[in-house]
Amino acid sequence: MVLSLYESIANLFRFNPHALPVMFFGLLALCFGLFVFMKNPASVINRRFFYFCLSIAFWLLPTSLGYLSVSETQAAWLFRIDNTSVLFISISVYRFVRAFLGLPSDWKDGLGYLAAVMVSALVLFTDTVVIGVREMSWGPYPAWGFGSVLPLTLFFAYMMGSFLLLFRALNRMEDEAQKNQAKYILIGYGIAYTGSVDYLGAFGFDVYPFGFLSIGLFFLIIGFAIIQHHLMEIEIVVRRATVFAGLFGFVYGTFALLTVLGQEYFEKSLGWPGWASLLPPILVITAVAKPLESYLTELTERYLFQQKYDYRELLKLFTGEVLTLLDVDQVMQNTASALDNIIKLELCAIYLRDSGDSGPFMLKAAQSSREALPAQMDPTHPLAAYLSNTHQPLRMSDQHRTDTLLEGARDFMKSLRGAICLPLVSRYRLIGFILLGTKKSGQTFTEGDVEVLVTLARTVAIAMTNAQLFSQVSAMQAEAAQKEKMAVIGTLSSGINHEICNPLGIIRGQCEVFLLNFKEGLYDGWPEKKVIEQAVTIFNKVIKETDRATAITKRLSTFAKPSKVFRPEAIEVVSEVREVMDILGHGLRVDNIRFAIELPEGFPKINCDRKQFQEVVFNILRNAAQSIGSSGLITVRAEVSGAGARILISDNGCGIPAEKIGKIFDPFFTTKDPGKGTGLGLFIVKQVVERNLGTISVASETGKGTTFTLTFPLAEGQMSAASQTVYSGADRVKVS
Amino acid sequence: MSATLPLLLTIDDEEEFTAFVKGYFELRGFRIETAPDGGTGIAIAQRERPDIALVDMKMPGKHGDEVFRELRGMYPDLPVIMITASEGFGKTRQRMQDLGAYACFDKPIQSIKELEKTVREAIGR
Repeated sequence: MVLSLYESIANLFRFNPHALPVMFFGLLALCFGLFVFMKNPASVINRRFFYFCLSIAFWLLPTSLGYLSVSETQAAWLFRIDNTSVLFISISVYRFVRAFLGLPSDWKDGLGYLAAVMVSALVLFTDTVVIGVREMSWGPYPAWGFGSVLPLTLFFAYMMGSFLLLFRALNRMEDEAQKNQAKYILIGYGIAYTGSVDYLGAFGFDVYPFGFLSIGLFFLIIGFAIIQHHLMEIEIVVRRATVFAGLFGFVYGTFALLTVLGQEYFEKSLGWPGWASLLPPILVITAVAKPLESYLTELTERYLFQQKYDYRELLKLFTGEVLTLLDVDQVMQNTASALDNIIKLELCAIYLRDSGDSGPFMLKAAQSSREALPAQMDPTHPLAAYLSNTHQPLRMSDQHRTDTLLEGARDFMKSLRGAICLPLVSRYRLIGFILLGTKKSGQTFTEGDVEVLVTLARTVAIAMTNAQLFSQVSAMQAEAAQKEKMAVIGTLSSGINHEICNPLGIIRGQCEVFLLNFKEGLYDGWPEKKVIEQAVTIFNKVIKETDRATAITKRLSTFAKPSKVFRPEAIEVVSEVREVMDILGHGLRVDNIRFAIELPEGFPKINCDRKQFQEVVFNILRNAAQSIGSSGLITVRAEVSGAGARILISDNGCGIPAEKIGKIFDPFFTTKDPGKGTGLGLFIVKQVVERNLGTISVASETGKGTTFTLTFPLAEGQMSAASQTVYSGADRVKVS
Repeated sequence: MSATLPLLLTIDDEEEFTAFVKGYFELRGFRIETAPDGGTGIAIAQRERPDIALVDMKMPGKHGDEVFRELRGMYPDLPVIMITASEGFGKTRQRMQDLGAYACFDKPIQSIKELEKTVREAIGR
């Protein structure tokens, strides 16, 4: 059956190499048109371009079959079909141009189609147009008679009509992008119409019909316009069509060539049946097609879509740098700068909503003159409203969508010579937008550009959200740190009141008493010496209490003053712990908390920042006192361990539950009732200890107590002394 | 009320304060007994009934309000003046007045004359 089909085809058609390119471009036109149509069937421009491609296909494909025809009758019919299609070419071009220019259909469209149908009937069913078939140097070709005046008139009338429309519109156009598009359409169709030279052969002139080449050039120009100037939203179509064209050309050419060679070798030399000549091309095509597709795809990307490589750098920059920034202003400045440097824009501005969901959008960064840009936009501003409603980018070159919300936004963009506006969306709400002007190169933003820019906008939105969250967290941390400071001050206040106010009260009281006694005559009758002794006693008390108040004031002031310089030095554990005890001491005594320091004689010094060590001990002792409540014992012990000193602070308080002990050094974690603790005390302690190259650990049992173990490195020169001294229980110093 | 000099019992862990009170009131016709803590103060009160007591709120060992309750348990009509630091004093003052303290004074004492006047009013002299 296959054989009989092959034989039937062989009886109807013969091989003619001139048919190959014609058929190729015919199929190319058909596929290109189909891709364009399927990309956006609702678009008028896409539909009319498809009709044009269809009419090209129905011109070239029958022509190629005509070249291959064995019989003159068959060839004549095929040429009649192709001539009929030619009539519809110029009408479809005319309608495409009108759609591109935004002009509605009018009576000329209807007239054109009617005329085309009538003339088609003349071509198909009479011998007035195609009067026969000539054998030219390239194969069979239609011969035209006097009736050809009608199709020629119709063809050229609508061709001139299209060019006139484009010329007039080009002079009136203000938008650069649309002007570029119009120019390419004009050039493309101008070149396509040079294919009209094919008519010469119909009148007997031996001029090779290279119309198919003009069509090929046309598709190249239109393809370029689509890529560079966003003629239609089918950049991906061009990409695929290019790959398809390359693949098709390879398959077709390989098949044809190897079939011919196969015929010569397998049939004539080896005497094999005709179908055997199909085997070599099938094998070659199967093996090479897939690798060839990948190669063509890469080639297309590299040479047709070179901008993709620039955008790759932009994407790398954004994901590597911008996304990691934690300062909102920096994110915006870096974004505007990067976009302008890489894409080279007339305008780049970023607006951001400061807070909430209903606040205005403020201008935060701009890479052009700020005077033209509004400092802020309310949510009711047309551009802001459009972006809030749609969360979609707004492109000035997108002429083919119409809605009222869009119109106001586009008018505003036009006033700024903006080209595209990208929304910044985070958690389903609009947080800002990036306004981009035209490229300095004059190129429009293509589909590929927009894809990359939308991805960038998403990255920027993430970066901004991160930065905003970070600043909120930082503010919360600062607030919590401030609360922690106040909590420390609260702990100190008992000591402040007692240690300072009491001495002052005694000073005042003693002076007041002496004066009252003197005024009330209670010293009358006293010997002068005794009065003077009384005065001396009082003065001595005043001096003593003044010194006491001064000492505690200095101690508290030194303790509370923030340390600006980190200065590790050799410090005595006992004296530093005692210093802290003096500050906390009164509060502990009042709460019946006893305190004991158990330290070996001559315990080596540790290397630590003095103030920070006191802060650590203060925090841990404070926590211990709070866990005890009233009546208990806090013990501070120390021992040498390897190259460091281990300091253990134990209490017999309520202990820490096992399930919470792993979290006590986490920030904002507290075991106290809500509002009672900031959760930062031990977090800060751990950071301070580690900063001093120490470690901290905790062991605790609920109801029994807690022990914090601090290790610090020994001070220089202390290690050898420590290793040479043996400590026993008798050496321990107990201080309480 | 004693026929002899009235006995003023001062219970405060601040040695300087008790010395100051003693120095003032002894010159003005009072006998002064001082105690550094609540336990000692209660023991002194058991030995001899004071005419009036000055009790510090915050002391190691027994706190002032516990000492107050024990004194009033022993001598229900004993006037007791509470002395305390001013932080949180508003609530403390209210609480002690609710318990029956004769008066409450802040430490450091702003006016020793005012304290003397209150003491004399409390013991009726």
